[in-house]
Amino acid sequence: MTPELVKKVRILAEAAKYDVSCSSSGVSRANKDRGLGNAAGWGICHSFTADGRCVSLLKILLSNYCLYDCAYCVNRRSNDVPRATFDSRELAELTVEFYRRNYIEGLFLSSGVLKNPDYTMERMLAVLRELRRGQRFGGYIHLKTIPGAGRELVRQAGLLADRLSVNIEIPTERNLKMLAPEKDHQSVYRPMELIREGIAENREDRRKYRSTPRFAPAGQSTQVIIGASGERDHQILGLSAELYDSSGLARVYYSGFVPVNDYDDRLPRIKAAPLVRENRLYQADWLLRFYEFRAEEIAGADFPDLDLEMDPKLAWAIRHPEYFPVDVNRDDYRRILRVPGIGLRSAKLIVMSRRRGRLRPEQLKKIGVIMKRASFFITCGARESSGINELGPGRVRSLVLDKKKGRNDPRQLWLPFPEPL
Amino acid sequence: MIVFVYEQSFEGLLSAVFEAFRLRLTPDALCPEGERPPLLATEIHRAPGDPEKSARVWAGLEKKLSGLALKQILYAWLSEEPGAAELVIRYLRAVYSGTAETDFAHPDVMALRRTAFKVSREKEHLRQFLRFQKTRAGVYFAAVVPRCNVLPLVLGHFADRFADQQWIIYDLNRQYGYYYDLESLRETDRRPPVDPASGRLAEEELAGGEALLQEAWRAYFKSVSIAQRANPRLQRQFMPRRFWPYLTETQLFPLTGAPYGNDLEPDRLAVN
Repeated sequence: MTPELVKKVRILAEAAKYDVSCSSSGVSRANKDRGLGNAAGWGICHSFTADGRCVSLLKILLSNYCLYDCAYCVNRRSNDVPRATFDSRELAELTVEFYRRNYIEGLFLSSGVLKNPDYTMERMLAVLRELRRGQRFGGYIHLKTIPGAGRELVRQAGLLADRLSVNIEIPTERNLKMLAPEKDHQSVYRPMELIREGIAENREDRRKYRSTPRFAPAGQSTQVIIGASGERDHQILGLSAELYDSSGLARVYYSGFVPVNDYDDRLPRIKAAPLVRENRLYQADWLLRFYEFRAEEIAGADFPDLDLEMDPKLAWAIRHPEYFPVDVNRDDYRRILRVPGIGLRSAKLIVMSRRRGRLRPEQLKKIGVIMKRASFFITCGARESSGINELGPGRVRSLVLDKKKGRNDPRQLWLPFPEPL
Repeated sequence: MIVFVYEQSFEGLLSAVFEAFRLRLTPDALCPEGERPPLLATEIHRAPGDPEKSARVWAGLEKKLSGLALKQILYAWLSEEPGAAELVIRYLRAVYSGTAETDFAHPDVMALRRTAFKVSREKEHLRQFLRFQKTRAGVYFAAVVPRCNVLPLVLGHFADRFADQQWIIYDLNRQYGYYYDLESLRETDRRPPVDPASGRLAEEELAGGEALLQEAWRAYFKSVSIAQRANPRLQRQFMPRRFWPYLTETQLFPLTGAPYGNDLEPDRLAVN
């Protein structure tokens, strides 16, 4: 470790930070032959930066020199920023030293494009080989596949890394062409398809021979930038649903656009990153993955964007009063899961606990149900008179939002009159 | 008020459970041996620790309860919360008189789950926020101050992960630790020479290059934060302030008192 290396770390971490993915989950692996490191299936966050994002992996670029000149990227060719490149040995050793001190779960390696995609991939693979073979490192590795990299390199990458990802960045091809003229969706979807194939084939092979080495055991992920181009939320969520269903992606990340190149006229002039929108998209993503919602239920042609004032599940419920009330003591798990204020954990506890007798509101509260939201949508022996069907969707909306902001004056008498039609 | 005087350990608690079932009594309070029983005690029973009895109780519980419930009982004990011992006894009383261990509408079942949940969160915090410092002898050392007695619960994790390095993890609050010597784990109560407020070893105890490596980590930590997205509240929610003095990346000054590298202003680091 030298002061020059510290400087390099600073430059190349600075250049990598706009990639949001940091998770180290999806694979559980014990230490092999008393080497160094294992992988915890749930992923461990080792620190949190001032922006509230987790630090799980050493997220860093191999190099921030880049051939391309994408409008939204801080490392674009035409930007005058300090540049640096790691030597593969140097980066592998840095990763191991950080890992040994319990700072990180592993490495998230990405890079600017040097010379050509294949050359860059080859340089990145050299780091991975040094880590896995030279240092006997068994921790987590996430490798950003360079768009346009060839089949053989992707195959080798899958055998060394736990997770591979290729960033879509801009959800529609037309806008990608405008902001990054040197790229196209083909160069993103092809490696994505190669990875999907690799995972599927590997699953087949492992069925025959258990000893077959695993290929990208934590799957693949991608990232889309939110707010740099004009896509609506329903387009973005439609894309995500498609990726989860047909390409078998483990995660889609949404990165609120941070204006780094504000001199570029092709980009929207925004003061702050669209953090609320990003958050709503993640909530919607959760609904897709865990709550059995379909993308078109959350955002569709007639309501193209997510409601920024409330979470998408609540917004859906308010649009669909006919679905309610849900009887927590009788209805099945999937129906209960759709109630705002009831999450996966509390839905499971409700189903387990109600076998022994009817659940009352106090007990629901203890179980972890957020009653100030759920109470409008459920029946459980009490409070039937003030559900969404009696109050009307508009009234429920204002009540829930009011409570959220704490504008309710407890001294003010309030009578729940049904809304006039 | 029925009070049991018991040996303050998990085995002691199990022995007290044995007595509670033998006497068909549910104690309102458990009082550790050597402490003064509560003033309102009307009935005091001695339930001394007995390895045979506690083993019998545990074997019985293993037959009756799920693995999850057994874990929750152990975790509740490790929580060191006031009332946790009584809670375990009440819980067992409820389960043995017909309450299902999944009946979360029952107050004791829910309370046990909550208490155990707190402990498993603290256990996760230890896995997240423990930081090793490399010593001159080449041993990796970490001082921790967990709220509950969770150190025993994470030893397996660290022993598997860091199988090829020697390490010591020392709980400064409870004054004991474990030493892994590449072969086995040993308990140790020798107090390490650290600053109790930060868990840091003195500079001369550190391995060569360790200070610079820590600086590299601080530099990394600072660089990955996006200023336009600053959200210190969220940061504190995930990483409570009580851990900060012990984290390499949030420690402000080395022990010598001089600030780190010239471009790391300490007041900005305080936020970062």
